[in-house]
Amino acid sequence: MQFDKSLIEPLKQNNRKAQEAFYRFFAPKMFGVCLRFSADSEEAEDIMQEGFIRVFRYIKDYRGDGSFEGWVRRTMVNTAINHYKRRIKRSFTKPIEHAGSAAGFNANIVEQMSANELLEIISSLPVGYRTVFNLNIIEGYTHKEIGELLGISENTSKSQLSRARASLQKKLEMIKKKENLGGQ
Amino acid sequence: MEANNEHINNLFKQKFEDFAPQPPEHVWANIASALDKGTAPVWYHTLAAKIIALLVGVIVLWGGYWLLTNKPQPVKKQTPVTAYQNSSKGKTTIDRKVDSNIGATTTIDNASKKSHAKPEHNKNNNGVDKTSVAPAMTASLSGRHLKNPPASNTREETSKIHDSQIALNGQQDDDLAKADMNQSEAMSGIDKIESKAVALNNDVTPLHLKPVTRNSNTHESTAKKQTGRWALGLYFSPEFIFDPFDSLTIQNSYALKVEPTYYINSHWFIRPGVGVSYARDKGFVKANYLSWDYLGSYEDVINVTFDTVGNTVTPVYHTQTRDVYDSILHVTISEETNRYLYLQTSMVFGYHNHVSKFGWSVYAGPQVNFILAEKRDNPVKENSSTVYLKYNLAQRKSPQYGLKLGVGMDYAVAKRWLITVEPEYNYFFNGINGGDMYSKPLSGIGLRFGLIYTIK
Repeated sequence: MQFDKSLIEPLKQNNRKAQEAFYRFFAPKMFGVCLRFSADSEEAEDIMQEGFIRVFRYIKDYRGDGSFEGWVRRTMVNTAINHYKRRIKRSFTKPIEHAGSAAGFNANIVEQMSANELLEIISSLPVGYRTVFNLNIIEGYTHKEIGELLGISENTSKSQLSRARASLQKKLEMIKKKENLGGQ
Repeated sequence: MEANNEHINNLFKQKFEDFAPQPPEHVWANIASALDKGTAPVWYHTLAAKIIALLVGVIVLWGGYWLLTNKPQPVKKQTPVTAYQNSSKGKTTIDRKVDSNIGATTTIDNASKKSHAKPEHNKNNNGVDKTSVAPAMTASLSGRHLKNPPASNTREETSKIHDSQIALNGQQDDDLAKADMNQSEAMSGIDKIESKAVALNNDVTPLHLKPVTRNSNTHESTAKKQTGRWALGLYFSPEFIFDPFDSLTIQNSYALKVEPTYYINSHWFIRPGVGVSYARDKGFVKANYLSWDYLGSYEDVINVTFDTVGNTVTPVYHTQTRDVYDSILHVTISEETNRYLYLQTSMVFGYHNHVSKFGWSVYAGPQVNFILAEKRDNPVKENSSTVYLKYNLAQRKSPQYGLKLGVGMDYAVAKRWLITVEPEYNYFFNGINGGDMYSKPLSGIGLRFGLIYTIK
């Protein structure tokens, strides 16, 4: 379902009904984005609230070219990045888990898991790993772009992603072992 | 391995592609509330700022235009009339001095015809050479009779001038007798004199009408000159705000303002103002923050397996190192000082009166203050840049809307200079600090010291 672009003009004029309709349309999807960048639901709500306020404030700057949903999503991601920038920096200096090889990443486990289960694992990642993983794997940003957004080097971004993968792999293996134990 | 990574990446993407959980309902309520607070005042503030800027601009332009188009008249043209105005009995008579002037004028007229007059006769009492003025005036006035008698002279006085002139014509010196002026020429000459009197009398300024009062009473002169005029004031004022909040002590602030005053008439004035002020808040503030400090690590048992060696079952504990960070919400109470630099604008309407050199005034009007710069102390500990900070501090908002009411006492220290002291009361409609708990009306008092220069 596409967003009715005729609502953009009323949005630019701060029409409250148009704003609510806009929110109702985009909120679930954007909440999903915010949850992926957050450690818990409360923080996701904070990010989404700030993100929507930014969208309403800067919608005057939207020129109509490109995907409207893409513009909203970028605004939300940028809000998440601003929200966690300071915490990301700190986490990079203290890697929580040792980096390991991602060679044995089991795709079958991922296939069998629901989005909520995967979200739970992603949310448990340190904030730095989580942010790089989200930006690169889900949002499709390059390491160069991530480096510019987060104020880190391209190599640091790659390293963080590698560690994020290793961490995810461990967690998934743990889940697999638990399931195996449960099945015995 | 690359292919596997790509596959995993795609799996994650697909899983989250349609991931759209419903957010709690209160999120929209929060957004709507924030929009209500944030958007409504924007146009209101902008409009208010524009109106004030427009008013100040119009008044400044108006004043500039007035100053440029109201230059004082040259004094030299008025000199001959001085003789008329200096009558000791308030009547217009012609004395010996006037005779010489009239004679000189007549001589010039004749000289233009017969070249009899000597050059030194063409100088009036102030030494102003009239040879360049008289022909032009003669040309414009000749053949035209007086239609509008002088405003300050009665018809009787005008008749006196006629009679005196006619009488004087009979006593002209030899040069005049030789000129053989006929009656019509004589009358024409009288008309010229009368017309000059009319023209010059109409040009008479308060400089001639009130020479004594102006020199003897500086303030009165200044006050009278204030009518329809401008004055420029420079004001310095310490101000103090009455704040009902225990946690915040508002220090004195200091303002420096430039305020042009336009006197609509001799009493009423309008005074736009612009200036800067420096303000400080000092007090104990509470801050809630998360520091995420690294506290240590522990080995977490994530799995237990059992190995059988011989007949003995041995548990194997699989552990993982877990780092522990401080996630407790900290509360700190500290004393801090916030500093602000304001742009102050105001537009007051007032009444001014004077007694001798002393004057008093009352005024009232709106004011709007804008924060230009601020420096706030950080209430949380050093190296806490990574914290998730959520603190409730009194932070001054911008703009601040208020009303001011003041009384002034002034004293004329020189012809154009006044000093003034003005106790002032300020009322801020929604306080001066942001946040709901601080948005109550506040009052403040100030004591302004001013130096005022009357421009014209």
